[in-house]
Amino acid sequence: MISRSANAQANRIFLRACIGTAVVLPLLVALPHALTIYWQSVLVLFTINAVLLIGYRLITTMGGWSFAHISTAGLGAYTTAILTTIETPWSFWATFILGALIAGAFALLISYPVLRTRHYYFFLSTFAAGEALRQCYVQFSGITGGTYGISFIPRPEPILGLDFATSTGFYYIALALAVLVGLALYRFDLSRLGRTIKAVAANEELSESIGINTWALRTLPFVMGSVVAGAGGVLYGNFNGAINPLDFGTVLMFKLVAAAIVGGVTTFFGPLLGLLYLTALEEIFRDWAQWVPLFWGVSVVAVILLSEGGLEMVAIRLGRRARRWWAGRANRPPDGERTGSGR
Amino acid sequence: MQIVANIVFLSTFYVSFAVGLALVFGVMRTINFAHGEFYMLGGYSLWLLFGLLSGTMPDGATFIIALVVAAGVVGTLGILVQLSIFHRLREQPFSIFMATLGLSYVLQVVVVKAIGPMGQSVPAVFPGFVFFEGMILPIQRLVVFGFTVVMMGGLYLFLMHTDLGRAVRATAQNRTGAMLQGISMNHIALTTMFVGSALAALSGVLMGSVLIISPFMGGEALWRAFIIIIVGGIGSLSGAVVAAFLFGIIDTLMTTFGAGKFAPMVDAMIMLLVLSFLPSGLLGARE
Repeated sequence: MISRSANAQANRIFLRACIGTAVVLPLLVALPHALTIYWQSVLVLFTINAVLLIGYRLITTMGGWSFAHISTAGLGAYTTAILTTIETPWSFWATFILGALIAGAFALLISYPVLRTRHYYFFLSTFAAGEALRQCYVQFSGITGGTYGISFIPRPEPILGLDFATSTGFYYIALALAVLVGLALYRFDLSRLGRTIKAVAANEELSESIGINTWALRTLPFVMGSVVAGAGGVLYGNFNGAINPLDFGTVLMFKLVAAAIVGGVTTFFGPLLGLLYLTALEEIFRDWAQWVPLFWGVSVVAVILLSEGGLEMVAIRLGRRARRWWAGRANRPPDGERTGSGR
Repeated sequence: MQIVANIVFLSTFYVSFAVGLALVFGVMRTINFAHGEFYMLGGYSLWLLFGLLSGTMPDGATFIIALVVAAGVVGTLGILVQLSIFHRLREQPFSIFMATLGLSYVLQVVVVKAIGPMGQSVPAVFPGFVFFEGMILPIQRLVVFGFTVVMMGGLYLFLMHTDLGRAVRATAQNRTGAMLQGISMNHIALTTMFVGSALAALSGVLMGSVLIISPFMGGEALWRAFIIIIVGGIGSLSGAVVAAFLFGIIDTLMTTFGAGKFAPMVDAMIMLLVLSFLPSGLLGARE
């Protein structure tokens, strides 16, 4: 049975990823204790962006690059901000789940029209839909606070004696979400369903002709990715303590898309490499903050013009070379077979 | 009657902004994300020229000079973008989209650094009002309307009655067919980018005389232009005009009746409805 052996292989790869995560996790947990307060907040924002990006990559696997991702994340942020600042405030944890679900519901609502479009049409329609949603944050000032937004959003209430008022405490929520979502979507990526979604993206007509429900397989990742965006948005708004419509504008959207392009989306880790690169750039040029989008833009154009497949391909090539070097060192006879060139 | 006048003013603005975008899309099959920033640069050329020339010549002449200068400078910028980005990335529409998105940030940053993030405004070039049939018509608005009509008329004549215009339309309809007729794609692409960018700049000068000029005015106008060209049918100029009037009517009515805050939502819902039932837009050709 081909599918069973493929499944067993997916399980093996996933197990390896789990072990890898388990090894790295203590380091990630200890990391904020070695940092200053400033770098702690950079770390938290990086982790939240990573969550948003993991959801974004899932959407790209179905072949469409959504431009509504950050506005959708804004739905999560606004849900939490509104419900935790009203007279009888909700629990953060309830709004966390509700925010993610609302973002997913929005994606489901717009999925029928926007998924009828492909390629540039798709990113135009999602851009317009996302921007209209963002305009709603501005216009419905009675509940969203208009251009000033909402401030004094309270931090999550403690559970199990863990305090989330500090950056370090908050980091553990973000880290937990990133690891859980990351592992779940990594497994999904390896699953038969995840692979079928990529097949639909590669050739929709052929997939349809062999009886695959292409419609469902394009809607599913779009909605799932948006749920993740909503969850990430809740954390983003809550960590900042104040939100306004500009937070969910094109700058953050561009950062995510740029991360996906600079890193590449073929592998699961490509976009995260890209995000690491962009964040590093942002911090190096912290004193010239207004120029940072320019450096990002130049990086994107450079990757598009010069490299094949972004940083992930560079990493894969380096990894392969290191492995070959290691093999040569161990005096093993070179196996001579070329295991599939990069492209 | 005032409502009719307002509808006409808003619609002509939508037309002048969206038509350039639709033209570039129709021929190049990709979106110039920096179109909004080209429009913004048009607004700033008016403001700069007013600062330089005020007092030395009548305001009306400055206005005309601004139109010419903005169209020339931004059109040339469009040619540079064609040579440096569009041409090198041809056959990769998504990459072009991202590259021009990067470019739009570059232009915003440059303007913020050079002039500042604050909004600027230009004194009314043609002050005063005309009262007609119970309507109050600012002369400035009428002039903007008149220039927009002239601009559209010029574009129509260019596309319909010159050889170059016919070649542009042929390319938009069928690239391969146009190439087989010996039309140079590079030449057409340069022409289209020049005309499309110049249209954005002209729109910027015209609207800069009645709106606040800020580095972010392009981004604010762009998403609505996207909605207009999607509803009209991407690449269809007549569709863009029809959709511009449709949204001009809807937005004006909603503002007049105190529902202005629902306008973005309603516009987006109309777009989504059109996509649901007519994925190629009102007048778009099926691909």
